[in-house]
Amino acid sequence: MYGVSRFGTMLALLRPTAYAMRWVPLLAACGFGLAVVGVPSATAVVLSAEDLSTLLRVGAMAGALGAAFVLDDPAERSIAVVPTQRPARHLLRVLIALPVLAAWWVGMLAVTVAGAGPGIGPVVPLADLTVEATAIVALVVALAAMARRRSESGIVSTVAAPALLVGLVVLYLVPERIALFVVPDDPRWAAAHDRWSVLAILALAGFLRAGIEPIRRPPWSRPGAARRLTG
Amino acid sequence: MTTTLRSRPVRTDDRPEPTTADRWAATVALARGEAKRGLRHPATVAAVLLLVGPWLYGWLAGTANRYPVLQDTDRSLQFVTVLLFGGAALIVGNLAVLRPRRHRTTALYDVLVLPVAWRTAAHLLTTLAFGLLAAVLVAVLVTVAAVLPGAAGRLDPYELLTTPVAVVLLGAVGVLLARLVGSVLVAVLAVLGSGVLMMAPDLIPLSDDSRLAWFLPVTSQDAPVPLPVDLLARPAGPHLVYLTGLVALVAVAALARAGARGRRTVTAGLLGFALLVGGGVVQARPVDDAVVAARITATDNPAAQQTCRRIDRVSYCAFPDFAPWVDAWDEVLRGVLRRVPAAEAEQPLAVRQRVWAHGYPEAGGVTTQEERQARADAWRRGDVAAGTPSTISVGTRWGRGQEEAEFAGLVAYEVMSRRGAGADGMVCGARGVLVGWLAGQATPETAAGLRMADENSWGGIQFGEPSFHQGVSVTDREMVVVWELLRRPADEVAVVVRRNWAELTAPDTSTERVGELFGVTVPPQVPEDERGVCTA
Repeated sequence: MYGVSRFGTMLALLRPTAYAMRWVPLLAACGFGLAVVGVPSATAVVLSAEDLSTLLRVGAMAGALGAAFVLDDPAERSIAVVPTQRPARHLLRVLIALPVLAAWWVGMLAVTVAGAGPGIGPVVPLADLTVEATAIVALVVALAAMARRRSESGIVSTVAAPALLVGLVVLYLVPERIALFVVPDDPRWAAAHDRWSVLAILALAGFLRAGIEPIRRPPWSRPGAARRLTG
Repeated sequence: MTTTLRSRPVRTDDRPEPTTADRWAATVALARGEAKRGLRHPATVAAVLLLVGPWLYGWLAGTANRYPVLQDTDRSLQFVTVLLFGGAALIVGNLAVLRPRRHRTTALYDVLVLPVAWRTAAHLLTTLAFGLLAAVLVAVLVTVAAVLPGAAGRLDPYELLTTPVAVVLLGAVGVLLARLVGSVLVAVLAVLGSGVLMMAPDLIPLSDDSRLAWFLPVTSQDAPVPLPVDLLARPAGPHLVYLTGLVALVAVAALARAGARGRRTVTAGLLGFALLVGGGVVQARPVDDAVVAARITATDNPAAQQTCRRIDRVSYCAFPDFAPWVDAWDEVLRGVLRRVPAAEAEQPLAVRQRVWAHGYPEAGGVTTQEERQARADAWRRGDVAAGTPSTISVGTRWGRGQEEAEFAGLVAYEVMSRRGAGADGMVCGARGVLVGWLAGQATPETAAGLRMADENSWGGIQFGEPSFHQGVSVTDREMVVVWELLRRPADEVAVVVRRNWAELTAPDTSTERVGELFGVTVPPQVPEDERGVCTA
């Protein structure tokens, strides 16, 4: 992991990596998220704190779908041999996207509060919803990093984005006792957000773990395994 | 190399140009291959697991409802099935159309026998496989519900068909989006967006009779309580026509974008448009006046629409759809009656099903004491006219435990008060303890329901028809005694209850007196200003 410690290398990679990243899907998804909270905000419809939380959640999911493209790297095959290791390359891409995502999320919160009816804005649990958004984005980059381990083309958004949707349905369906998507008035709100924090940490750990090389695959999942087995 | 690929392939033999029949055969073959591939895609597998998994878990864990209302079962499956399978069809279809683009082989495809418009048609045909898969799974789930002995109501074939057609619609949208934008991002955002759109009627509360939500493929909007079939008036048939038109239009748009401009494409487009407009206009018509009148009658004077069945001295009057529940109601009622003195148990009783089918208050709405009193008076007048002067109310939900416990509580209250329909208010002292104990010991389901109600409530437990926001309640102080009595053998307690029946059912007998009779410590009375008024 000495690649991570080489701060100078990272610094030197900053500009070329930022240049090589796929920004259009990320920005388009962030725009979609802003539209989700912005359109009801701009109209005269008065929404409750619960509805505004739902919209922020949907917006966060949209932004996360865009973040699925952050790790896309068509040059995967040619850079697999460079000395800068995978965790460093992944981390760099996420760190470059982070300020954009942070600015976007602040914008989302601002639009929501600005468009909320009188007295409703301060009631929306912004901090806890930020935890949820962090967890969802962490989940998608973890999924993308895991997909990178198996991908030969380096394009993992086609796996990570649908996988995030499936993951969100799973999170939605978890038993009542450990529910995650609860409404703000719910007595389980605080406990649910402890769970969201744990989820965010687990996802981040998964993201870092997924980058570690060498990749040891079980024999049956190695490329060409089927061919060797069947002759 | 590019030049070589872009130029027309050199013909090395003198076979004729492929005919339309050849192209159709190749299209169907491609669709079949794509369907096999698509149904094995992880997104599809996940959709199957996410639909079937929770359902199986419900049955294995014993939390599945054995008393389903079929006219709600069919449509409650729509939202989740369409989101899962429509989402899978949308993403898989989109990925399949974009595959040559991802693999940078678009140019190579031009040498194939099928032009791009035909390949698009094949991808559109593939979506039918997803519709079929969803239809099969829904059919299995619904059949299991329908063969249960406790199944009430009936299924609507149009509601059932809506699910696969909506799945095909989303699949076609996936193909269209791939022809418009070359990124899978649009597909995943479309899945997210369609989920939000279908939930929108929940976010923006529309009035009961607003038909706007019907312009969405399906919605999660649900009536607050299950209604008898005849009162539903859901335009499911016209909606299916509207949806089919929408599928045709989306498919034609995808084909047109791929270069199809033939007469058949135009005809299909026009036909789709006609279906869309025709179905749309019919489904948007307001609810029929006759149905509204029937809903008002069902709410105020249900006797006119019900059939009654007698078991021993008890008549059970239910909306015809719900007749299969009578035996289950009887079981709970017998569970209460076997613990009361024979003289009381032999008195005639009547049970009447009630439903709030018209003017249900919006979320957060409250009903005043006067409104509840007026409704109770109207019910009692109706009961007298129907020849069942004193009735116990039961609702249109059953099987989750809570309903059983509430019904048992109302039966107990009726046996000791003989006041008839519309029981309302707080029942205090010995009578409160008796209501709680009789309800809790009636059947294992009522015991479970009472515990559930206790976990989800503060201050006391209400026994009533929940859809009417009224009923009798017992405070926590009495419930402490109830829980203690429920821990003892029911036969032992019943002996004391029967011996002291007159005293225990007198309105002025205190909880302390119950404590003395059974040797139970009664918790101290709450301060005067926190006490409720004993009105029942």
